[in-house]
Amino acid sequence: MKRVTAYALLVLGTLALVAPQARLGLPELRWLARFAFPGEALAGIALFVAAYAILNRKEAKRTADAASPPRHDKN
Amino acid sequence: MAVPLPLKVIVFLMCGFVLGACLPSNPIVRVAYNGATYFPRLIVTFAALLIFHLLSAAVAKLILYHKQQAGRLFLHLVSLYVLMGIVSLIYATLWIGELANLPLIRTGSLSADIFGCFRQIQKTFTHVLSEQPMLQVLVGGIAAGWISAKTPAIRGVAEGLIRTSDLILAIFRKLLWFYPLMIGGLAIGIPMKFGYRGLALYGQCVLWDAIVILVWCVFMVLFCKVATRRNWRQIASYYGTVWPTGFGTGGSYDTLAVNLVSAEKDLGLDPEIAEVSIVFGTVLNKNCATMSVLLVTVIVARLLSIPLSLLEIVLLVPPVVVLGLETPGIPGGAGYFMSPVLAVLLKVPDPSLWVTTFIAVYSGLIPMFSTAGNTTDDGVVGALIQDRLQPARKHAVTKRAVTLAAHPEVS
Repeated sequence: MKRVTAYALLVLGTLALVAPQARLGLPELRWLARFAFPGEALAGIALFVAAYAILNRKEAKRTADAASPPRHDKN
Repeated sequence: MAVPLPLKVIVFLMCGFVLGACLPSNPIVRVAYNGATYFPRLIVTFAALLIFHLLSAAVAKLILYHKQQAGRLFLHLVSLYVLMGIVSLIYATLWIGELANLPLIRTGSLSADIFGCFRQIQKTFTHVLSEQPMLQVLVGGIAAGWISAKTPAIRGVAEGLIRTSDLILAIFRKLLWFYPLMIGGLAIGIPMKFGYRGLALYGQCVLWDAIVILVWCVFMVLFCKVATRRNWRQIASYYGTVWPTGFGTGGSYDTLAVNLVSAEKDLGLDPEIAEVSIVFGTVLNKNCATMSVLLVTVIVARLLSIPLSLLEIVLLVPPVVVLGLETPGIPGGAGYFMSPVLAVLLKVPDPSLWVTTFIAVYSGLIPMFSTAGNTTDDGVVGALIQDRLQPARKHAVTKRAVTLAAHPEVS
């Protein structure tokens, strides 16, 4: 389920990054510009970050564990 | 025998110019031109997506992979490459002032009084950040790459960004066979749309680029002699090997192996300094490409009759420095990835036409001169680091060698 959510976020992120620029590019894809709104590219970046965070959460957990200071026994 | 890519590009470019000049109304030639514009327009559509991944991954890679590998060299190297990027763009701007005879400020482009000027800059900045996706991507890409690489809890984001960026670059490398065909097709458009004036302006651009980059290289040779301990023989041997290779390949990554070997063998760099500075430079340093981008900007603006002042060129320097850090080292890469951002910054009325014309002009000999300059600059930076910025390390090594010779039991 988490992977499906992440891929959905990737699709939405792609749309958010492509839509504002679409009116300048290929005529066949200009219809995408209908979905553009101010600040949409920043929203797209946030969606991509969220998607990658979900997809690579095991990697992040491993890195965070490796980066955390070693526990010292008190006894 | 395989024909080198730059040679293919030049042949197709010339064929495009001839076809556009001789048969501008021929329907097949027009179809070839229109077909060639599809790929650059597709790049414009997906430019924000591509630039976000390339830029954020470049920042994340710098922090994740190179910081530990390069150790204390990291800060020196990044600072030197950024400084060199800024200096070379100021140098190019001075040349533009000399060669292009641009007005200092366009009438009506900025208010006369200083407060009005600041208000206008603030207004433009606010508008640009809220309305322009490419600039949002520049800021957001750096932030995403930086934060995800620095924060262990979201390190997976950095890994995702790097994997996607590598995939994008791999696709672009796989499409390199198409590059000469596309340039040939786009070249048809220059005489077809702008007549012989277009051809003359392209020739002028190549001439300007050659002058600006050759003079820069002469300065760098003199700087290397004055600021480092290299002798004339070493410098001549390094430049004699790497400059023609960079010129011939037209791509930084294609020159990497020769540059590494020559920096150690000819320039006498320690292997660890050569590896770090040359590899870093190949990824980070595109200072001559950014100089060429400014020159091409002036020429394309003239072709499309877009008014341009020296102040606007100066205002382009900071974003072009940032873009220079993420531009992939593939032939003509700067043209693909910088032109959509420049179109936004200069408020070009027809960005598609700007991008296709820009890619056509930023081709042939121009990326070859840029690569030759970029790659040799990497070796000079390595020599500077070794001789001037790492003396403590050198002394420590020497001192240890002397100690070992005198007291072998210490080891």
